[in-house]
Parts: sequence; C-alpha cells; structure tokens
Amino acid sequence: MPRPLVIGLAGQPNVGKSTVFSILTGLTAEVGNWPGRTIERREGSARIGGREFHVVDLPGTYSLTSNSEEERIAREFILRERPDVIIMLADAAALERNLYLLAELLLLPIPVVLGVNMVDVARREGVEFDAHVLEAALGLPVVPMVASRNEGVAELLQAAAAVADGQRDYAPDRPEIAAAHREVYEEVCTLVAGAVPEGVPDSWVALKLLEGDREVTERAAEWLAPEPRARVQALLREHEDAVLDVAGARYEWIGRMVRAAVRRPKLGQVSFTDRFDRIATHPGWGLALLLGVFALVFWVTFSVAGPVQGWLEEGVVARVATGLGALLGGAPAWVQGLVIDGLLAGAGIVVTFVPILFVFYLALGFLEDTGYQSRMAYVMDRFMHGIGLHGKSFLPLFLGFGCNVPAVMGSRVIESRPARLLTIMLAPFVPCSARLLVLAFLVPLFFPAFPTLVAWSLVVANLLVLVLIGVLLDRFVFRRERLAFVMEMPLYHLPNPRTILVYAATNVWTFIKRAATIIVVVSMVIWVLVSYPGAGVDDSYLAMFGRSLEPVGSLLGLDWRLIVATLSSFVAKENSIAALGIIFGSEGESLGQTLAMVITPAAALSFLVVNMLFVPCVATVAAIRAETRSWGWTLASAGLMLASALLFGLLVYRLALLFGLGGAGA
Amino acid sequence: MLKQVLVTIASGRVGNTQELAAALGTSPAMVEAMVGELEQRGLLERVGDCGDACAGCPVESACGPAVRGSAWMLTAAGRRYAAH
Ligand SMILES: Nc1nc2c(ncn2[C@@H]2O[C@H](COP(=O)(O)OP(=O)(O)O)[C@@H](O)[C@H]2O)c(=O)[nH]1
Ligand SMILES: [Mg+2]
Repeated sequence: MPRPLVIGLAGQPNVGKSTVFSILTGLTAEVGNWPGRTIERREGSARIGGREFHVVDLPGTYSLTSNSEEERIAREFILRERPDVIIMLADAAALERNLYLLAELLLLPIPVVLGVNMVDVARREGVEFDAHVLEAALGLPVVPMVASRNEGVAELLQAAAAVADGQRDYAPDRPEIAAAHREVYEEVCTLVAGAVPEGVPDSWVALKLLEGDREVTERAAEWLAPEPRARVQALLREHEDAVLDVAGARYEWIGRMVRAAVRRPKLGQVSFTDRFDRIATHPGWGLALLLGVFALVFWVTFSVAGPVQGWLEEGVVARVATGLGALLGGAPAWVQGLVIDGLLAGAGIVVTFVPILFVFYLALGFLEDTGYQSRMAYVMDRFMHGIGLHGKSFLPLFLGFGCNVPAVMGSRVIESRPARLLTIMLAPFVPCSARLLVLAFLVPLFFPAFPTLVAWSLVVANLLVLVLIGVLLDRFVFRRERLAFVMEMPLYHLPNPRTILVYAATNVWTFIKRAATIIVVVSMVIWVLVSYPGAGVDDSYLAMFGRSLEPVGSLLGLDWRLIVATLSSFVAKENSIAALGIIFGSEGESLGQTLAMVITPAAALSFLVVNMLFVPCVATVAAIRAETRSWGWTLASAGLMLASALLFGLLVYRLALLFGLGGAGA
Repeated sequence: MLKQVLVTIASGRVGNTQELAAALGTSPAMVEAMVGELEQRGLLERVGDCGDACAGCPVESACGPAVRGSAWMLTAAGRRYAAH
C-alpha cells in the first residue's frame, strides 16, 4: 500500500478552510500545537476512493512573509515537512485579494491546486468567475466550490491527488519581477546559489531578500560567506525600493489572471453607479442634488416626526407633570420644582425629541448605507473645480461632513505647516452631522410654520461660507500645494432596512442614555440657578450671570436666556434645548408656543446661527490639540469659532431686522 | 503596479478610487486590494479615522462608522517611494 498523500491546506482567514478540513477528516482530526508555538495545529486523515490522505490545516495567512507567527509556521511547514501537494482555498468574491497568497505559494517547490470557495456568495453579489479560463491562465487545477454544502470538495481532492501523482498537467504561470529590478534579482540569485540549505529554492531566498524579509535576511547572513554577504548587503541597500516591485509584480500577475476569468457586476450595480454618479458627482447637478437631499432629509424629519413630538409634549409630558404635581402635593415646594420644572421641563423636553432624532437618523443611515454619503464631500470638491479652483486644496475640509474630527486629522495630507494649521482652524466650520442634529431640534421650536425652509437655508448659508473660505484658501494659501489624496467611492447599493434601523436605534439609545445622565444633571443645575435666590426667574442667579453678558448678546438679539442656553451647549449640544425648556417652561404653554411669543424671529435666527458656529465639540477640540500640538492654536481655534459665531450672529440679526423680522411671533 | 498606485496618487491627478482604477487601466477591485496592501505596508494611511479622538465625545453617537475614514493619503514613507 502506498504511503498516504500529505496535503497542506492553505488560505487566507475565513475562506472556508476549517469547513473543508472537517469534511475531509471528520472524526480523525487531532489538535495539537505547532512545535514550540502556541498556535493550534490540526491534522487528520481521509480515505477516499481507496486512497489514504493526511491533511494538515495551516494557519490562515494573507501572504508568506515573516511578519507574523502564522506566516512563518505556514512557510516552514511547506519547506521543512514538504507535503506532496498544497490545496489553497480562495474566496470567489475576493480573488483579487486572495491570489496574493497563491503568487507566494507558487515560488515554493510544492505543487498547488486552487479551490475557489463560496461561489454561492460571489454569485449572490453578482461576481461571476470562469474556472476554466482561470485554470488556463494559472496553469494549475482550479475547482469551484461551495464547501458549506459539500460541493466541489471531492473534486478538489481528486485534482490534488492527480497533480501529486503527475497525472495532470501542472505548468503554473508565475509572477515575474519587474524589469527595473530583474538584474539585481538575478545577481542576488547567483550570490546565494549553493549557500542556501537543501530544499530551499535560491530564487525564493533572493526574492525574500529583496522584499526585506527579516527572517530570511538573518538566516542568509549565516549561510553566506563574508564576501558574497557583503555584496548582497550592498545590493539590498542600494535597491531598497525593490520591495514594492516584488509585491507590485504579484498584483500585475493577479490582474492578468483575473482579467478574463472574473466578471464583476457590470450590468446592474456598476452601471448604475456609473450612471448615477454622472449626476451625483457632476459639478452642477451634483450640488443641486446635494442641496435637494438636505432639504428632503429635513422635510421628512419635520413632517413625519414633528407631529409625534408635539403629541408627546402635550399629551405625555404635560400629563405626567399634572400627575406628578398631584403625587407630590405634600412635598416641599423645592422638590416639586426640581422634579417638575427642572427635570421634566429640561430632560423631559429633550426626550420628546426622540421621534425627530429617530427619523433624522433613519435618513442619515439611508444616505450612508446607499453609499451616497461618501459623494457629498466629493461633490463639494467638484463644485470647487467647477468654479475654477484646481488642485484638491480643499478636500480635507470636506471630510468633516460627518464629523469634524476627521477633517482635522485629514489636514495631515498638507505638507506645509501654515497651510495645515489654517485648514485645522477652518475644519469646525464644516456642518457636521451633530450640528445638523441640533438644527433639526431647534428649528421647529422657533419656526413651526416652515422649519424645512429655515433649516435648509441655514445649511446652505453654512456651505456658502465654506465655499468662500475655499476660494480664499486656494487663492492665497494653497497656490502651489499638491495633495496626495484619494477618496473611497463605494458602489451604490440597495440599502438594508435592518442596518439602517439598527443604526438609528443605536444612536437614539445612546442619546437617551445621555439624556438620563449629563442632561439630567445639567437640567437640575440650571433649575437651581434659575430658582434661587427665589424672587422669580428674572432675578435668579442665572439671570444675573446672563445679564452680565447681555451688553454683547443684545447686539445680536440674544437676551440672557438665549445666552445661557448657548453657553450650556458647550458641555453637550443638546443642553441648549434642555436649558430653553427649563427657562421658558414656567409659562404653562408648550415650549414652542412660549418661544414663538417671547423670541422674535430675528433673535431666533441669530440664536441658531450662533449655535451652529459656536465652539466645537470636545472631541474636535481634543483633535485640534493633538494635531497642532499646541494649546495656543487650540485656543485660537476656539476663539475663532466664538468670534465668527458672534460676527455672523450679528450679521444675520441685523439683516433680519432690516427685513422686518424683529416683531413678536414667528 | 503598486508603485504606479503611489505615483498616481502623489501626482494629484485622481480624486477617487474609481478614477485611480481608470488611470491604471485596472478594476476597482484590484485597486481596493492594492490600496489595502499599501496600507498594510505603511505607505498609505487612512485619513479621517477619528482614532481615539472620538472616544468620549458627547456627540459621538452622531457619527456613523462610514463617515469615518473615507480617504487615503501617502505616508512619509509612501511619498519617498513615489518619488524614487
Ligand atoms: N455561503 C458559504 N459559506 C461558507 C462556505 N464555506 C464556508 N462557509 C462559511 O464561512 C465561515 C468561515 O468558514 P471557516 O471554515 O471557519 O473558514 P476558515 O477561517 O478558512 O477556517 C463559516 O461560517 C462557514 O460556514 C461556502 O462555500 N459558502
Ligand atoms: Mg479556520
């Protein structure tokens, strides 16, 4: 009886190796450790068609460098234990990534057969691959499989046996090193020839040396005589950049292999993306679409969630207040006040915004999940091109659409320090999703009649300010700066309702938890400050403090109440809403009605503008400190935001007064 | 081909990964694989990753995962290779 055929099972993580291994070895599998290592070694035997196989499951690896323990184990096994054949598994939907390992395996002196697994998943994603074409291109057996349904596993084993027995053609096409480094490679080959141990191919050692493989470099120093060693070291020092050529040649080879064999969705997703992006990333239409999308998000939010919010406020919070009032009838007045006028009016009003929040997050989640969100920054950049600004001078800022922190971090692409600092200073001007959220909160309070129009106009105004800044930057700062930068543009796909729901629910839940902690605490503090020393809200400590700032605030139409609400947002943006709820809550009407009576539309607009431009959130401040490594610049940034909040607030207020919006009632 | 990726990004001629694929005459899937490789080798770096900066931000919940890190830039080493 012939000795069992030894098979090494290789592949990147999660390609189905363990699944195939269990199918092949069943109950015979044994688990041990690789000698001297903590990583598990699984092996077992299989008996198929009267033939005995011994299968060893190698650790999942992306390549065969010496960077990780797993990779060193895999290549050591192949070189030392010399299996008869290697079965490599690849993920059919990610061959471009998976074949890198094959390119490395083909350098070793053991024949390889390729199992292309998860064909079912690939097909579902619209990726088609032709096993015959790939087989012809690679020059080795290729077996399509669905391991989880035990499809193709027997064929794979047969192919492996046939190759090991020499019954099947095996003439693999291997990657070749790029022309620029072929001579060096050949010289290193000659230098190491004869010095490397039996069974380790010279060509492999030469390539690994050029790749800068740590382990091989150390070993080679021992193997080589002093003279060739010095020469090899000199060559490697001189050709440091060969690393990229070696790996790059592998990708060129992969590109060649998959070109004819893999068809990615051309009809459908890609063509839809191409066609839609012709509009969505067009300098003019794209911008129009972006503005339309903003308007739609606000409109949906206000028209769907607005009525629910009103009902919660009047139907639930008001009743709870009455109920609590009866319940606490015997309690001291300050307890009643703290609970009803503090907690309920502050944190309670914030909680009634959950429907608005939920719908808003659903809309954002939708944009994100379809892939549209990553176009927003790009569209703005295209727009800048459209108005004659070239060079991607402004792109880092647009990363800030989701969150200002990335925009601050993104400034790293800018090489000159003055330009980088300036970009960092301007990053908080980008309307991040948190600010949009606060806008979605506050606008319907002040402008219940046309919230969409107001919210949309504020966003557009903010974008215009950005464009203005962009023009100035481009003219005076970035003139010669070239930024090395690419954006990821995922394909559009049908949104997954579950993903979006989970996204919205997670965010709303986080929000509720915060309402239960920070906002509750701030609400109570504010209540205490407006209730004492006791003569009435207008004579409270908070009013005294707010009044001390009124000389400045009144220029922009902000009375002490709006000033205090703005300041409280420094801790957390939603606090400004809680503060409004408490300060204005004592009138007995709903918050919206009270505000409409007390605050003029001009003052409301000014308040909204100030709140949008006010000092950025803690995370952004921290990022600015980290990137500039300077408290001075961090303070300068906060100062700049404060100054522009005041300036634009003033501007908007005065303009609104000119347009006659200074009267009472929105 | 990896070097061309770096050189093309460094040239500033392309704005996004689709244009990069077109410029290199290859598929977006290949570009994705190569960009991943270059990132792993420390030659490209994701920008827009909040990293630790977002932890503890009061409005952290307002950022979805997809808005973070949607672009790549050359690292100092990447710039060196591209200029080689
Ligand atoms: N749909 C599908 N799932 C598979 C297939 N092969 C394996 N899987 C699943 O993919 C996951 C990872 O497989 P596993 O064998 O653990 O991968 P390993 O990391 O390579 O060992 C498991 O949940 C398997 O059930 C396949 O052909 N089709
Ligand atoms: Mg496994």
